[in-house]
Amino acid sequence: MMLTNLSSNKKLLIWCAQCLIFIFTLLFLLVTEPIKINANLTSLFTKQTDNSWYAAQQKINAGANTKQIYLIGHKELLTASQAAEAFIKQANNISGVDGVVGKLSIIPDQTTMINSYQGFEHQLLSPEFRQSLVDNDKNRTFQLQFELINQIGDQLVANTLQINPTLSFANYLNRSPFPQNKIVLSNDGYLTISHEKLTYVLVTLNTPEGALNVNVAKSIVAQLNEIKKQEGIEYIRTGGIFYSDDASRTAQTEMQWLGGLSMLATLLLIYLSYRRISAVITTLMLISISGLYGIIGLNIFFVEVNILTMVFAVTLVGIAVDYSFHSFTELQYVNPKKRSPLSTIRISLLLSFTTTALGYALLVVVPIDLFKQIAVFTIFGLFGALVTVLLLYPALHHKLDFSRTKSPVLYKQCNLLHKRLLDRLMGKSVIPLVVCCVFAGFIADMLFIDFSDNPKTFYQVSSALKENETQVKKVLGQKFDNQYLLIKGQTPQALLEQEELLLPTLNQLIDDNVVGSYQAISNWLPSIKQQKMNNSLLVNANKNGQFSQLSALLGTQVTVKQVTDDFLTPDIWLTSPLGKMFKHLWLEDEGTVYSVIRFSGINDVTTLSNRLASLEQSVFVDTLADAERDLSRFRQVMLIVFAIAFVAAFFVFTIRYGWKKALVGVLVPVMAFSIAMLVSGLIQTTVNLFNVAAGLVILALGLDYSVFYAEHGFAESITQTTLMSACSSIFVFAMLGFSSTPAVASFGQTVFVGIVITFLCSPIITYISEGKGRND
Amino acid sequence: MNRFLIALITIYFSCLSNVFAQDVAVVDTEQVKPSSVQNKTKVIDAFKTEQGIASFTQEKHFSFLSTPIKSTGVIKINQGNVLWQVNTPVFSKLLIIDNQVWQQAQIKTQYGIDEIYNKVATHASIETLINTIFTGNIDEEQWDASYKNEHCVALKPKDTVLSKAILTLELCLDEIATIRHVEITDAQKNITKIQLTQTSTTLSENDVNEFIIQ
Repeated sequence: MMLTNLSSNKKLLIWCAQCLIFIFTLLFLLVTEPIKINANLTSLFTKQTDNSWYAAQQKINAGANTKQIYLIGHKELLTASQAAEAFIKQANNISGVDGVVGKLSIIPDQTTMINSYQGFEHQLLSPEFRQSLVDNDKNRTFQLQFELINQIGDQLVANTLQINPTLSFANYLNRSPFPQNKIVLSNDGYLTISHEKLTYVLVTLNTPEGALNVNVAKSIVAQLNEIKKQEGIEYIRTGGIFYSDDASRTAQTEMQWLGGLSMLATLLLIYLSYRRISAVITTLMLISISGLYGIIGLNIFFVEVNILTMVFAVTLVGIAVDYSFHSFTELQYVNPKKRSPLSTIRISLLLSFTTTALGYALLVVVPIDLFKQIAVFTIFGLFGALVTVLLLYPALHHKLDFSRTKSPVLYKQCNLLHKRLLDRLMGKSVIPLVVCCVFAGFIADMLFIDFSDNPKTFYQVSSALKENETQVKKVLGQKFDNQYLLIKGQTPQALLEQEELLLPTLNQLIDDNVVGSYQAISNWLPSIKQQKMNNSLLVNANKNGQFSQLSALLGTQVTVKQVTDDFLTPDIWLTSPLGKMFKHLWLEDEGTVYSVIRFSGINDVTTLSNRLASLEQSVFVDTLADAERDLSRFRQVMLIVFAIAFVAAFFVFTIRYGWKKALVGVLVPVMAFSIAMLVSGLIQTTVNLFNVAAGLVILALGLDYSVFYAEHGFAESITQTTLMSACSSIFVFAMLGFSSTPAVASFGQTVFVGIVITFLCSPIITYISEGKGRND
Repeated sequence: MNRFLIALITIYFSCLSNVFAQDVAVVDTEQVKPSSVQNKTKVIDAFKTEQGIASFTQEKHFSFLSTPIKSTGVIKINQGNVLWQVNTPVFSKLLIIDNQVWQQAQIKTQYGIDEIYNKVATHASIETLINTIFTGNIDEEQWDASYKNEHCVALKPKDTVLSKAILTLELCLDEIATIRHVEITDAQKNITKIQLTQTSTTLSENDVNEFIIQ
């Protein structure tokens, strides 16, 4: 309150001082740890650092985002591989790319697969072979052995017979480690795929984990685009960085257009209202300062912000500019020489900032980074705007004189029209009417609104990217699905044993056609416990003459080596050519070991999830379903937050204006929200979390209007400020409604409808005669 | 007596005409026999089979075994898909449908033993090999074909994975039109000889049903 007694010049000095402090803070933060902007659409939620499962998942997901795929196709294999070679040569020079691979040296042939188990051949058994030994079924064992010998064009028997005459090792290796077999290795070592009369060469770009950072992604994609494409060659590509680049371009375009247009409209509105260029320039400065404070807030609290935060940041223009409206409307009636020209509206401004900031602060309870970033940006931005209005505007008024002799006729007419409209609608029973409207709104919402929590519907990727991804999937055929099973063990052996216990369940899922196949490390690396059992089975089977038919066929005596202490372990096997292919399924994190089981061809994800839910030491990870479930929960949390905000506002209003005014003042934005949700539901078919989030903005702005009407009555000046505020907000949010990003558009549409209704209905508070405040 | 002579002469000429007719038929067959095929394209074309049944005998000569491993069975071809059934010495069934290999397996159920097909993920492109051998569909993207003699073409795999397993594949036509010979030499010089004898050019409904995977 001390500030109120200060002269305009001293206020200006204080404003300059705090402004300098903030600017230096920003500069310091920008130099020491500049904020990064990411477009990683998969990291929507706040990192749960205390959850070890979550940390492991994040590492697995981060690894998956580092591969970018190019398919280079031509009808002639030679031409396609030459084009691929040229592409690889140039792409390898791109800064930010760790490596470009066309020839896959890591894919083991039969000899390297055999070598991957060198010295351990007598302790490996396939489930079928093991079963035939357990059952002591000589015929079945011989059938498995003969099928191998008789196999056309395969050399497994020839290559392993000397080291394991029982053929159990050949049987163990008689399968492919590859998830699908559409990929063919060409003579010169390229991975090629034939599809619709074209032969494609598969080229993989490895990018660092931070490549989804907008600037890095943009730089890599720009350099990739500069690579000269050969005529007649088809280039198809997909990967996280392309989505990141696309998202940043869309966001940038939208920020420029939506932000630019809304700001232009707002400034035009100011000029038409106050007829002064100085007012326009001052407001422009207020918006800039507000944005600067928002950026400072983001820099203080976040290391990385989502690109969508920058799109949502446009909303700050609509809210911050309100302070300018309130101030100019007040200043036009105040003598520039007055010591505190904004003293009349100071409380209203502070109350307005408090309610809005509280509304946004409530967004922080939702564990979605995006909402937290929007909240911090807006609160800091509004604080900057408030400080500027209270400290800078009096000095500017003193120098520039914003006072005028008469207010525009338009607002007078609007005030009259608005009054007439509400006079007709409002009888004596104002409260029952508002309560009925709110109740009807909620009933209609429950009947007509369908919620969708699928995060995929929040983003709109370009059709070119979508087409490319579809084409890549078509060409590559069956790929691993996004869902996987994550298993935890305290030691590598405990983990392998845990996996082995799960294998029967997984095989049953294949038999039941729930999944097409799966990839598990224990299928290729048995635990020491299993290796001991396998060797013991082989030794006993040989003693019992179970390989007699094979011995007779080969004309030699089959022998088995007894193993006592030399066993294959993950640290040895994962460095072998075959093991390297499975390394991505093995993760060691802070003393705990994790393994991943990947599925392909999932036919029934619900059954899969249900069957795997009860397994011990493991979690079924379905990122999309998990996100959907979390979003649904957050939506409910947000509605609870909304209810808390409602109660809190009602409590504060009751203290100042009495319960009747408080009830109406709070119920009007609630009613506006329920109707806005209904309208959004009818327009969008399904509504989402962002529509609900819009409710908080409606509540915040609606409470602002209620405060001003309650404080100053249904006056012409308040009609002017609320109309201007509503118009500026409508410009901003209606613009957001045109965003190509569905999440942003949902938010914009709901706020737009809500603000229109709030503006029309908020003067209802003045029809309550009881309590403090003014009634007209 | 005259009547007898007339009858005798009639029978003689009738037999003579049949002999001529047979000669003509032999000449017709000669025209499409492999000996008349002068280039590899014609040999390759002669190998192509869209539909049919053949019995086979297979001999695998391993360099480290004194006697070959023998097996016999039946091959069925339907619209480019292959069913390879080994009958002796042990029974096994392999289906290749749209370049995917399926192996028949028996599983124990509560009602007894059930036969199912399991997808086989191969690492030596054997589906390419089996398709080529049994359907005669030689994809020049995957094989280097060369004309060996008037009966035979020699194929070398272009695919690196397959070329590490197979050195050459020789497809030969026999003097008898229904017989074909296949000789596979693997990377370790082990030789597999297969003789195919076509028994039918059509499939019954039951045969076609065998290509349906439940």
